[in-house]
Amino acid sequence: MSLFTRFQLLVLISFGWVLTVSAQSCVYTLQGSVLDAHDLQPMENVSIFVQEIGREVWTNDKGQFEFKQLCSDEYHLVIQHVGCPSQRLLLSFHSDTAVTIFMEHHQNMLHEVDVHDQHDEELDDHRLGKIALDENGHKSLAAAIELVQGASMISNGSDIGLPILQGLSGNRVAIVNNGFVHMGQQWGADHSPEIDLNATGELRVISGSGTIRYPGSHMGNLILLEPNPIPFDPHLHGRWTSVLESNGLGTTINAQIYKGLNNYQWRLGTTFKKMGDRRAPAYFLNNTGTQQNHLNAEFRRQWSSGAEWQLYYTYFGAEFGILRGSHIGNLSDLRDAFDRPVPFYTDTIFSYRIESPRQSVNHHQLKSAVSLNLTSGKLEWNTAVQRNLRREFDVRRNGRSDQPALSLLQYNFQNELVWSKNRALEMGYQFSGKNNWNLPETGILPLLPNYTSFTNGIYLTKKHTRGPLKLETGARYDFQLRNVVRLTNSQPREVERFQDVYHNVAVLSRATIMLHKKWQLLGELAYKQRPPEINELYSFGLHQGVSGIEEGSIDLKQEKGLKGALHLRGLLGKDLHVDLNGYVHQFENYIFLQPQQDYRLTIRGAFPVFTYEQCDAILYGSDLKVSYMLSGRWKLESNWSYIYARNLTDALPLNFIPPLNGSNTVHYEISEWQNWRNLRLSMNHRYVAEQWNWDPRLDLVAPPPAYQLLNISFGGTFKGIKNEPQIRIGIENLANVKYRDYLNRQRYFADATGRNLTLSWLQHF
Amino acid sequence: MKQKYAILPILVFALYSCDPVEPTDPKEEELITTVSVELIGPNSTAVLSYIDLDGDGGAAPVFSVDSLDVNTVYSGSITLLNESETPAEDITAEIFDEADDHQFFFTSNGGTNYSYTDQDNNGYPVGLTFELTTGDPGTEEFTFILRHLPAKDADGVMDGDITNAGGETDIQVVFDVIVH
Repeated sequence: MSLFTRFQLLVLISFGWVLTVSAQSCVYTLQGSVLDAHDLQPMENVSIFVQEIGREVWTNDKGQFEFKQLCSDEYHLVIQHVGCPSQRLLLSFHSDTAVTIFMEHHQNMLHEVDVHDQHDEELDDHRLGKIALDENGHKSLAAAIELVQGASMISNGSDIGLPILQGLSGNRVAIVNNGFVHMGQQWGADHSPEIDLNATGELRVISGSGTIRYPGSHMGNLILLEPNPIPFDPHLHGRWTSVLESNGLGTTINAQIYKGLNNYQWRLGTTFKKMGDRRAPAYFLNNTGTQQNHLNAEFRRQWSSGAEWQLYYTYFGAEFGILRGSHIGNLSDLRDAFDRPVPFYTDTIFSYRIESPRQSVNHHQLKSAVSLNLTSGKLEWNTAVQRNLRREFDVRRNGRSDQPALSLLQYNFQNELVWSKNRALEMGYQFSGKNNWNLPETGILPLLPNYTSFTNGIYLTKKHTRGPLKLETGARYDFQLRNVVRLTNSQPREVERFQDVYHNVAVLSRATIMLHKKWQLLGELAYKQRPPEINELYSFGLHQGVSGIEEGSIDLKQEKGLKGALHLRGLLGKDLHVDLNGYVHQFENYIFLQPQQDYRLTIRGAFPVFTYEQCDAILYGSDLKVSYMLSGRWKLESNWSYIYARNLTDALPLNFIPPLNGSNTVHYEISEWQNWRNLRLSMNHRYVAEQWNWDPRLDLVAPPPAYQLLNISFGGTFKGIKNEPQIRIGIENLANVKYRDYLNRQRYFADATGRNLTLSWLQHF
Repeated sequence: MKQKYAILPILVFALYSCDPVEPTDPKEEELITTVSVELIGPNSTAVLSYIDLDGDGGAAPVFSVDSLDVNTVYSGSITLLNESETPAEDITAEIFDEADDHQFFFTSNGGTNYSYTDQDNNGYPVGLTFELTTGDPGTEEFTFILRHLPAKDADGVMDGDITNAGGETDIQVVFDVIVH
């Protein structure tokens, strides 16, 4: 079967259309077969359940199943198999019917190695599928992304975190949410992207020409988040997820409803999350609660011409408490805080209250996407508007704790025209405009200036296959204009204006080759540039995010990076998958925050000073994943990552690079046990080494020692009650280990969170 | 088929002419620019002052320090001002109003001793007024620290020991004082 027909069939099934032949009432037979969507092999032991008659059958070794004596009616089928997200299908039944169902097998294995003769997925594409996202919907985006090979996070407490991809984070990583680069205040190491995972159907970390398509200052890989397609079904359906957590006595609830008709579909969803104070093994982490709300609304319309229109709106609002004991004054307070076994302000009383220091953020995105099928190719016109408000509250005198110390509002508009042909040739024009300013409510000289920024970009990517060789090339150019205005920090205050102009170029090429039938090798070379960001150029003042005075420098030049990567993956024997990649990322004018040797004397005492500087830098890294199918039920998996990063100009290490880390997991799966289906037990061991590539000139405190965590989870589908919920119990940090993580800013003040028991419940209706 | 995309928001390139929002002076009411300590002795009055009009960064702070007599008891009082505003704002009153949440700590690396002479509503010291007793002649460093939200009931804090106080430092000033 050619790739094209396979793709079409998948679409057919996801919209639930079936082949029909004629006959009469309550004597009909449904015959079907279930195939693996990747290798088209028949799948045995798949459960097919017809809701209306409450009957369940299992596929045989040829992947076939059969129901007899069905009436002329509509039936909902639920198709389930271990390791696959369950599928639902609506059949309008007026005759004997035959159906072929394709299952996305092994989605839970993240980026399962899949080597086929006919390969239509990117080799370097690392995914979190629906199952993994369902299991991690209560976590922040950054925390969930740690499950992806080569990814980690830089964080401040439990819910505030930024993803790190192969050593890069913040301004160097773009997050593309529903087709558009997420625009917020991603410059701060303690600024979480305002995204709720519950609305996401798939999370991918991509490299290659896909990264050329998106504008922004990303220097390496990027993160793509997409909602699930809305299944065809004229009845109102939905899903309900709730998660309870013992650490923080919190809950996350998500509800989605949707309806899918022939030519239009819609979906509405909402998430509510409330967490109280978390607990380290030895004490409460006071004021670490979170409250989060989310809303998503989606409408899609198709026309017979092949045209499609999508309108999508999403809202994210959150209050994040920050550990009370981490709010410090000057350098001597900071030193006192480091030396304390228990942080200041540690209380024995649990509370849901969120007081200063805290962050309050909200984000809106409204998107419209139009696509037209023309004879010459596919034309897309996409626009999006985003509004981002970030307010940070410090502990202040005289009732001013309710007055934000930082209050930034941003409006962003993006517009793009994309033309593509057969997924091989693609080109586009993109415009992005941004207006970012300080709301005058803080009573503090702002850390960042007010600015507007406009970018025009064009790109071209081309894919091309010749025998076992697949080639990809891409290039983009962006012209950026930025107007900046700020107040001087001298008395009397004066207004200063700046205008910056940047030309940015990115080029990329890569080749994938099938070596032997079971092995693939990928080589990539990419050159990218990014302009210095607003915080790197202009920030000035006390920044809680770095516990010191942060100073930008207006002399910074564009950062340039050249990355070479090799990626090998394949099958050893029948059951051992190996996935190994290595990369070298060389930077010119790498921008980093350099702690200064001298302290700044202020009325509050001495403060450490951090200045943005540039150097030549190099990052070497490697990620390895090995998985072994021990039997149909047992599976072992091991993941390791290491990065070595160096500032070549000053012969020093680079700061805040993830240390060596690894994770080993054992999965045990049972497809049927009494009233349960698809039971899965996972035991995970995670090891994070000490960051030994470190220099005392770069940090106030030495990196914390290595630690090991045990996590366990167990769950399955319970058929004993209506709606057949998927129930899951998980325990994170099973041994209640006391540890601190190098990339969590809270480590200066307190231990990381202790044991957490989670209970989750997911049902479709 | 006719399709209507008219409801899509269309923003034009006019955005190019869009200048950033003009910044407004934030009126830093919370800023403390001036610490002035008046010490009244039996024979003379001395003043220790610290002034940093432009806040963090910018120009360096200016110190002005009178010398003190040996083995003398001075009665001290502290005045805090925000002189970046006109007229200057008196921060002392703000601290006085929030006396429960503030405490000064005094230390010297020489023979000078301190004791509190004021109390908040709960009977704990504040330090806006205090008594200072000089010792033998020499040059000493006097350190004045104002903590916001200290644990006043923690061990030793009431007696002026900062070790267990916690809280945020609002002021930390060191004066080099000659005692003769």
